[in-house]
Amino acid sequence: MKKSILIITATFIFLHLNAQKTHLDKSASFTAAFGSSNFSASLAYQHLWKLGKKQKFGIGAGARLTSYFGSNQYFTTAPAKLTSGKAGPGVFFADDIVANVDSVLFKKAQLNALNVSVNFTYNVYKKITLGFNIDAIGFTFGAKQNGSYLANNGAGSATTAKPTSFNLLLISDNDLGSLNSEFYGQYQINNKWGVKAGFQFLFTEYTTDTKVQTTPDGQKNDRFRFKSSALSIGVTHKF
Amino acid sequence: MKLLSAVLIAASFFALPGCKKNDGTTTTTTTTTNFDPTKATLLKQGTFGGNMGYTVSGSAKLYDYQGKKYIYLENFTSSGGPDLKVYVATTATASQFVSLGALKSNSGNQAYEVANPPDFAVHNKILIWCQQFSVLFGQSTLQ
Repeated sequence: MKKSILIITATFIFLHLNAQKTHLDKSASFTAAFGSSNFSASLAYQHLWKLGKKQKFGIGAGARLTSYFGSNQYFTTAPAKLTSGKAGPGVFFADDIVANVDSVLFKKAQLNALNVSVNFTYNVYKKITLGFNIDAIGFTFGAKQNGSYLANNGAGSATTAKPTSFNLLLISDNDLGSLNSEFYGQYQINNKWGVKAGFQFLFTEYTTDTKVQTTPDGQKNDRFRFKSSALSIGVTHKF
Repeated sequence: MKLLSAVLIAASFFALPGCKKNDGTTTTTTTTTNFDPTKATLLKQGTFGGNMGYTVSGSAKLYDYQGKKYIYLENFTSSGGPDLKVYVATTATASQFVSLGALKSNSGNQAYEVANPPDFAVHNKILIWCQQFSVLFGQSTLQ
């Protein structure tokens, strides 16, 4: 973790020191994403440093506010150590331990995540850009929701939960909280305005008021996650 | 372009949920049985009533057969609906419950083995419950 922070910090210091050689783009965007029983709207602001001789490649950082709205959704056990039995990069390829995966069904889910994002772009043609961005760290706020906890063995109970407040990008199920990411293609209409479309991957997470889950081996859990993928469309504005 | 591809692949490693098998739904421990109520001991029973315009009728009976507990729905009918489950619950709002699984049929006699029996003095309500939308279709109180 410390190494990652050092690398990111060093990268941005390098970019600042070489500001004369790079071109800085400042832009904002609004994105709407439509999934199955869910919708999200995002407002983002980013600084993008254009790199290379032709300045086709861009790397940058920004901030993004994502508001998520869902209905009748099953949030499942979140911690990687429960779903995969381990932490670290290996969880990406590990199957879920079904006996450890319980769920909380929310009739309504609504949360708002404000995160620092990392952004990458590549200018394919003069007016067409491919991009990827991902939230790295931030916090989430939202109202407490009523839900129904459903255990693997058929037992269940009513419960209440609030959005997990701290967000941190790690690897796959190791992630904490609510994090947004997006692959997209962008068409620049003129010097200021552009439109974009793509796919959004969004992790949202609630923490129950009590540790409602006890796994067969006795571990307790209060974190439940919903993973949504959605088509996204948006507009961008350069400053 | 190669550099972009490498960055996108590396970034997706952090972003994507991974190659896992999980449909986000729960499983239950209820099994299909050839339960014969004439060979079992009746412990409690109650009559179904509908809720909020839904029609549910018939009776719910708790049987003991060779040490196992069964909920038997007799002369049962229910309005159709999505994701209907049979719950053994403490209240009509399903504040504490044991799911016996999906409702097998909207009409007729049907048995559900209670694999993990709760305390039926407290869990004394049989609910026909639309799980996905958290709607009570009907209930019966075991007495």
